[in-house]
Amino acid sequence: MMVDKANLYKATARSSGDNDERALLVVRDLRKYFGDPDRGSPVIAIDSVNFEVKRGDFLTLLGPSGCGKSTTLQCIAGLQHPSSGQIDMDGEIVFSDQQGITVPANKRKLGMVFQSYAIWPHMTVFDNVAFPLVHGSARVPSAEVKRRVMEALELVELDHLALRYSPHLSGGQQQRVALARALVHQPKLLLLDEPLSNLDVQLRDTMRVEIRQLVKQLGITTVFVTHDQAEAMSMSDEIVLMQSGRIMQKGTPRQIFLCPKSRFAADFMGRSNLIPAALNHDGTIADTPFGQLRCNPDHKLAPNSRALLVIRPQAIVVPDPEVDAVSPNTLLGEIRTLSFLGETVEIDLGINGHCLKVMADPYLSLSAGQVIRVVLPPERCLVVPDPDASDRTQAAVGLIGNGATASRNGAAVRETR
Amino acid sequence: MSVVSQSRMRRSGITPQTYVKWILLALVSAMVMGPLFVLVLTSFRPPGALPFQDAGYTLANYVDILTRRGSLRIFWNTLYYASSSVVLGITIAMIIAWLTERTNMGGRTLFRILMFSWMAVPPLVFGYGWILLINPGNGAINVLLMNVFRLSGAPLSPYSPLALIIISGLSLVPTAYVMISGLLRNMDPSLEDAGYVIGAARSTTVRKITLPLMRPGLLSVSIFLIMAMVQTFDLPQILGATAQFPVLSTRIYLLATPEVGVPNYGLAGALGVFLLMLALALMWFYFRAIQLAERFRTVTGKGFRPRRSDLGRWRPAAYLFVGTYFTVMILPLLILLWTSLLPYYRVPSFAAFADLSLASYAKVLTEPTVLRAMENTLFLVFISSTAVMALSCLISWFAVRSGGRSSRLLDLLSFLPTAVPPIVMAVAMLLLFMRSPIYGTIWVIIIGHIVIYLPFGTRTMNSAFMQIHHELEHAAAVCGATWMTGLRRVLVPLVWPHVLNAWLWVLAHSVRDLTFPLILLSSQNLVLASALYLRWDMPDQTGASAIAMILVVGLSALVVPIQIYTTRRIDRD
Ligand SMILES: Nc1ncnc2c1ncn2[C@@H]1O[C@H](COP(=O)(O)OP(=O)(O)OP(=O)(O)O)[C@@H](O)[C@H]1O
Ligand SMILES: [Mg+2]
Repeated sequence: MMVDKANLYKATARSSGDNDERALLVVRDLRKYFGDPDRGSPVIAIDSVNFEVKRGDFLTLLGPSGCGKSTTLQCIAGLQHPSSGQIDMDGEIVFSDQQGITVPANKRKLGMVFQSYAIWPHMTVFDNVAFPLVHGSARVPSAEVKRRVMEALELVELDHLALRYSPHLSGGQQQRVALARALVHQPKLLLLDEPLSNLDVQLRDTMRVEIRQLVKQLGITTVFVTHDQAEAMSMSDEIVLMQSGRIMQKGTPRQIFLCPKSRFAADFMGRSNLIPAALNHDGTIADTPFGQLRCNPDHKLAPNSRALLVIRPQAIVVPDPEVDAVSPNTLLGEIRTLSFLGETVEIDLGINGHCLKVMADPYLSLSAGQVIRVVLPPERCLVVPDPDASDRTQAAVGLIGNGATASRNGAAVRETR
Repeated sequence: MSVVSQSRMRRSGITPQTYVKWILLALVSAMVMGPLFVLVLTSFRPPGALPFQDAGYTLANYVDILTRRGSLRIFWNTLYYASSSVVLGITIAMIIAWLTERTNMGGRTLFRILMFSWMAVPPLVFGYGWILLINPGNGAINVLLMNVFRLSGAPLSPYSPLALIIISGLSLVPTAYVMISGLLRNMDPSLEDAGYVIGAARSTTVRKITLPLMRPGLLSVSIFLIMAMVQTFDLPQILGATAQFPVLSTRIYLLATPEVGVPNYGLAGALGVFLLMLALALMWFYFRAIQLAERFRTVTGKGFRPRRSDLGRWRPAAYLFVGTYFTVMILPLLILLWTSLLPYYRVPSFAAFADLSLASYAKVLTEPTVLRAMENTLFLVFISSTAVMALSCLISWFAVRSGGRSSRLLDLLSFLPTAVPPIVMAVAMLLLFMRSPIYGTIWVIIIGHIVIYLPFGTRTMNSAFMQIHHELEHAAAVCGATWMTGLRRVLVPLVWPHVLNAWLWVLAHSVRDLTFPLILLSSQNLVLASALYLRWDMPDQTGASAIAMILVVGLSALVVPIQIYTTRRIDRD
């Protein structure tokens, strides 16, 4: 809805669209320590973070709480001083410890929406949005201020509340004010720090779509921070997945979801079967508790090494029992539990005394106790390094999970065995 | 890199904040440590020598103080005076605070506002009022008592240690009330409810639960007030001098500005060092008490409403008590008003009504010295209170937001003057600026007031800033606002009621203060407080009364509306 007016706004917002090939934001080898490195061990908030954002792209920093997303964003904004590294914005260095350059936050010409929205309660909505034009570095004549503020407010459909004080706004309205304030001075780069986490679920879903459409229409390059993988996948062109201050994986939502390169990525992006495996001499066949499985050979692990096989429950195919096609990686299992969720059927399949999670088509007629055939297509059986391969003595199946708790669950399964 | 960006880049670390921080650090340490350094230096100079005169060093002053027989008495007097008046003040303040915060007594908002506005009445004025009321010659109350009870001599006198203690105790009730009502407001009522629920009587609950819970808080308030009373100068000067009851502050004054003979700066300095150490020791106790109080803190956040108990049959007694207190507080003001309307002081009577006129106001308001003093006072109080708040906002920003060793040092330095008695600071300023061109101008008083009221400003702003989410400030920076713009347009407006409140407090105390104007007195820098003191000593009681009334009415006109406004704003937030 609020996108309709974006076209109107776009003409003015995009003034510097000269060279679309160059990356608008380049973050190189960024590190940030807290505490005095001379005394005691400092907290390493982020460690060797590298990424680029292309002009007009929507990039998301995704990761569990405390992984350093906000710190990274604040370093980009200039609100925190990185300990080392370099940040380029639109071809200019805004931070470099080696060259001793620090462009202060107020000179970086950014738009930012904070987790708490940070709407100033002593000002009206109009004054909040006008602030960058009146007191910021992009000052404009006062007649212009009124026009641009009202344009920005129209964009987020709040023009009728311009004279209201912000304590009298709802959460969603405050969020829109914050967005209008971040866009009014036509920044090159928009930074969003978990802007949706304070909204209720329904509003969050609509705002998700609206924010993405809005920034895409305006053509503003955006860096978005969230710990919610669904949010990240639905909004981003590119996701940077972080854990404990390090980047674990970069890629499009599709790449990250379908081809996790680590157990963490597999866990965090949704539920997965994590199957301990031993690779054969050429790395194409894995020995697992479910038997020998042919796997996706696109991995960098050494032959004969221990690894984890990642296979998403959705990746597993339940073939029609009538059709007698022979495909590799076909397993027989007994349905232990079955929960009908409507969109899908969640099945715990018992194979060789181990459990395999399967998401099946809800239109198949399946029931608990039934023995079924499942196919694990080899290209969907991904090989990732096993983080605790060394201290594992007995092969076991670690399972599944969603988000940050998954790795802990996996470990627990192992230990109790 | 483009050429444009060259101008925008900056060596890391050296931001405008850094410059401001170092300037502040230099300024505050010069203002706080400079005078104290000169004071200590002077105390080691031989008697009679000036601070910057090279006359060698000696311990003579210290030896003199430690061996003199009267010294012990002065120390004892100081402590006795401070602690007795605090005990009296806290007792009365606690009862009234209890009544207005925890009972359903009517008119409690009015009493609260009266208490908060009492800062408009300088202790000096209060003291003179009492002299008019109970002086042995023709004090109004004495005359009344003598007539009613047919006494031959005056039963009361303001010139005794006891009278000094009672009058000082009464005058510190409002300050104590403000602190104690804060304690009561922040106490979780469910702790008391737990007492009622198990069937304890109200008196038992108060004795066994409420008082013990308040004890650490009360202890820190008591020590704070004792620390303040040890440093007071005005009441001991106008009442204690005649009573032959010297305390440290009045003795220092006498040594530094004797009526006859040359000043003995060395001895005054050494005595100042002793007073400073006494105040520092009390400050140490104060911090210990605060730590204890923190452990007992029962604040569970905003939102709870303390349960108010029903006064029941005690209601008349409560009204009688509060009524008596306010009568006792108002009486000195009434007698001053009465006196100011007469050509000369007369005991209040119907006969004298005929003589009432505004003549003495007309007289003082046409005198160039008084007009000059008013002008000076306005200049002094607006500059010093505004400067204190401007400095405090900056210092507190560093203390709360920026962290690091230099910020902590800045915070500490700005708090240090709490333990520096105004009389000590005034003498130190006198010694420091004696040879400089600003000596004798209003500026020395301004500098003195900025230093001694800085701790109040920074404490207030520290706690105010701590309540503000840092993202509100970050948002301003990202919008392109400079640090200063962010402070001016976002941070300070957000805590505006607190700024205004503290500004008013500093302003009122700057008006009230007699110490600096008197020690640093010259023909140019007369202010209303010192004009009042001099005129009373002249003696011109009616003129002094008129000045006192002008002072009180003028200050009230500012204090009362702002108090009403900020109390509402802060209660609402
Ligand atoms: N001022 C600080 N002093 C010390 N450690 C800090 C400070 N700020 C952040 N950290 C640490 O740095 C790490 C990263 O913090 P950051 O705020 O970037 O996490 P985050 O990914 O944004 O998490 P969340 O999703 O909870 O907001 C955390 O471990 C945190 O404890
Ligand atoms: Mg965060």
